[in-house]
Amino acid sequence: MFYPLFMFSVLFVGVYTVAWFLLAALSGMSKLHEKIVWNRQPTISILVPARNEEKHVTKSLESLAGLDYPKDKLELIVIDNGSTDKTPALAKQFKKKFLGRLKVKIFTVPAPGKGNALNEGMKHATGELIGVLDADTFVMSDCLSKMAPYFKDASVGAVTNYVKPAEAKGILASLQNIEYTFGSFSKKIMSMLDSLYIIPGTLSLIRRSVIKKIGFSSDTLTEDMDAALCILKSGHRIENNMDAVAYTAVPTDFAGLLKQRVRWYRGFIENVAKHSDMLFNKKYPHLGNFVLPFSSFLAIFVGISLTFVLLANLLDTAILSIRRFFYVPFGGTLDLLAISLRTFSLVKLFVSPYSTITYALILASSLLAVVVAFRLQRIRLRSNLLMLPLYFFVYYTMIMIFWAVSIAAELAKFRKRW
Amino acid sequence: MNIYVKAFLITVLVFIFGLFVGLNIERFMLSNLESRSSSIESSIRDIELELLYFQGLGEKDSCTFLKEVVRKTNNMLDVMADQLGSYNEKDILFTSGQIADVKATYTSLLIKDWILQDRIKKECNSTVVSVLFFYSTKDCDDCVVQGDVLTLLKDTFKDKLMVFPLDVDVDSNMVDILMSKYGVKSEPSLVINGQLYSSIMQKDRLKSIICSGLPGAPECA
Repeated sequence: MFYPLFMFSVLFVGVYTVAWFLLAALSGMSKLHEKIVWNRQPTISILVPARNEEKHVTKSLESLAGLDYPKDKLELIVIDNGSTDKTPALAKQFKKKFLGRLKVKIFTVPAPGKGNALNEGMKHATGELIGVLDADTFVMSDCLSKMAPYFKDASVGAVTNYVKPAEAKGILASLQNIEYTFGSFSKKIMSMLDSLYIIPGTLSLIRRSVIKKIGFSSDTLTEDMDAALCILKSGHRIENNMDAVAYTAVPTDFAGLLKQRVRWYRGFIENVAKHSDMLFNKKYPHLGNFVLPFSSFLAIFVGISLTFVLLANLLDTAILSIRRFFYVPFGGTLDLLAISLRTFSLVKLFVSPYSTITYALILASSLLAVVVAFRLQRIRLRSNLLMLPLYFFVYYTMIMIFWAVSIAAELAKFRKRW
Repeated sequence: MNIYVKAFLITVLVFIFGLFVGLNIERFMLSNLESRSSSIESSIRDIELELLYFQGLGEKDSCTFLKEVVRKTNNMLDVMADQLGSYNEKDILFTSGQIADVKATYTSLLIKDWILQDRIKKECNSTVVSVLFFYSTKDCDDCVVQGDVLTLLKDTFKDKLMVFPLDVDVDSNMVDILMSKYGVKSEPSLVINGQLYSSIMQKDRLKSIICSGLPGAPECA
């Protein structure tokens, strides 16, 4: 009795989140690629915090030099955040190369922490707008000219862009490509509901007068989410332009991905805790009432539950198989195969009607969400078709394990403190 | 109407659809079990009747005939045991009461069959090993493995081995009586030709115990 009820509450939350997302996406369909025109071009200071980024920093800076924005309105501020490699030398080389053509300032902040680096950079910034670009990311040349006009509206505090993984080969990169294609789209949808809660270092633009009052803090693992929530709290909006594209380096191995995600997800938890006053606050109808508490936390809970029910069954099957092997030692291959099929408990999981229905419906609705996200962006799903099963069954499971690790880490920290 | 209400309505529809599918799967499985149970019941009634009829006549052919009926009944019981086994009580939402009834009926049919077979065995002087397998569906991995071992041996010995799996959690006086008679205190337990073995057994050991009751069987060579 308990198990089907649990499964069906999981089903309810999962399907509700997807239905909400699809409805939001469909209602905002016509505004996905809207163009804002502003006859003024504000001055922009771009902060580039870099810590041991010798592999990417040159490409990143060159992409800024290639921006089609008027050079006299641009200012680049590279902040070397305690690098021990060639990063500072490469930055100086870049400065020399564009001497007289582009204003480039280089500073050094030995103490680690992106927040510190950004605050130091802020002290030297003179532009009306502040851009933040991580040294592992590069942008398309039309990025700024597409993003800056949003600031015509005085209520806009920040503008983010569309993030794609930089070209990388391998299965993990293709899987992240699907994830980013969906994630970047959903950020646009969230921005339309005033619920975009992150301004990533992919050349997000922030109004200087707004960020000056707030500053970048280092008390959470993700200062970009912290800053976004502070901007929203200050009464400003965060917009998103889907046609301004930034390419970011993505982890290409499991360990790198684990490290990145645990930082992101722990940062998410820390920020929700830090800004818990936003939860169920009438001032943030979508973000406070739904996006943060339900579509994020509850959806993650659902994902973790489904993943762990599956994993528990897999483990159960493995244990049973080992025991069986011990008690039926000379059964012969055929016998063992027949028996394994009979009592393979993963199969049993899907034989029981309610888990089957739950898994099937949640998979179907998630698939629908991904298909809609791809269709609305006019991106061909066909080239990703082979990757989709892997994405849903393996990558998703992996991400949920990362979430579980992050939650455990935060809980451990919380317990220590008390 | 805002997207929250719309999303809720859509979710409720999907939810009702899921419930509807689930209810129908349950109903289908239940009716399947019930019809199987009733055909086993009539088959056992036949055995009783035939046993009564042939008893007075003392004809030699009667044994061949009886054995055939018993074999068919046993096959039906096996299939039903399989179905009941895959039907986990914690997965059921609507029909758990009916399923418990079917399980109780199945258990009493099984015991009746066991009693009748014992009589046929004596009457026809046949060498058959009968195994009472006491198991539980609650947290008993050993029971699953022991069940697997028995299934394997059943495939080897075919009609020479009769396995009667009894779920100790089923509400049945007869199971309690059998348990106290043979002193069954834990699961899995096996009663082979009247002798109690109260721990999980490897295939080879079990095979040799069965073989001791089947002198000259080719499977034991």
